[in-house]
Amino acid sequence: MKNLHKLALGLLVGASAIGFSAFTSTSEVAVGDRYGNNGAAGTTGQYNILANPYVSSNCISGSDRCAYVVTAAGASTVTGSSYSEAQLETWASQGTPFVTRSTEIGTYTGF
Amino acid sequence: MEALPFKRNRFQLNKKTKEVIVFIICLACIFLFLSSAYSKLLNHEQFVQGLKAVSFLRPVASELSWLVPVIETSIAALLIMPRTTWYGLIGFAVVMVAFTIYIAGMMIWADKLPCSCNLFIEKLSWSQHLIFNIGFVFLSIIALWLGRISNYKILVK
Repeated sequence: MKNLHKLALGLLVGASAIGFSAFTSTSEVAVGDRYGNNGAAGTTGQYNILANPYVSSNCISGSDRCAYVVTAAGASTVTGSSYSEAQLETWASQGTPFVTRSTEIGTYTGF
Repeated sequence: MEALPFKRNRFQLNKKTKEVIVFIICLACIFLFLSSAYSKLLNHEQFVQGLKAVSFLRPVASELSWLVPVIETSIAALLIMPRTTWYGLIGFAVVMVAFTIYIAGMMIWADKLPCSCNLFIEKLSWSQHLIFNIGFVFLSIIALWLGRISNYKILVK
């Protein structure tokens, strides 16, 4: 196999990898998806979308809400990868809530 | 005794076959590392938080969150260029061994197993993730072995 062919195929696969990754990384937040309290030092109150299924036992020490759950009303609006606690609280407090609060308190460790 | 060389040759791969096998493995490695690096950069904040969830990585989480995708991209670039494929394969094997040791260590010692993985890997359990990594380590070793026994000629022309 000629080096030029190898280079071309390698670049093609590289471009496909990025394209495929971009395609699958598109945010697909759905009803029931959760944002977990990342609890990292200096960023307490920041919530990230969970990539893995929510497990309540992953909520450990802390005083903030462990997670927020996206409702049917919020599925088309709450689509980001992370939000502040203030933003999520605003959505949770409105007449038709976009998110609901989890009952667990603490920092989520199962991202 | 004369039949032995004949038996050996029956199962030996010719140079062209070796070249194709090594090249296909390289393409798989390129795909894995580039898609992984791209996902980490695209969802950087989530990746940082995943690293910070691991207690011993927390102090260097920010640095690692950039270092890992940069290393993955650099190795993919080495694999893409035919003259540096050999070094790319060595780098790939070393990094995958490091990732595999990390996963195995986490499975043994960590209380919680946070995963900031990408693509379909995030759907795997940690045991499956470990097997997946070991599989790629073996693939890279096979590619290095096939390349070495033909004196790098299939990789560096």
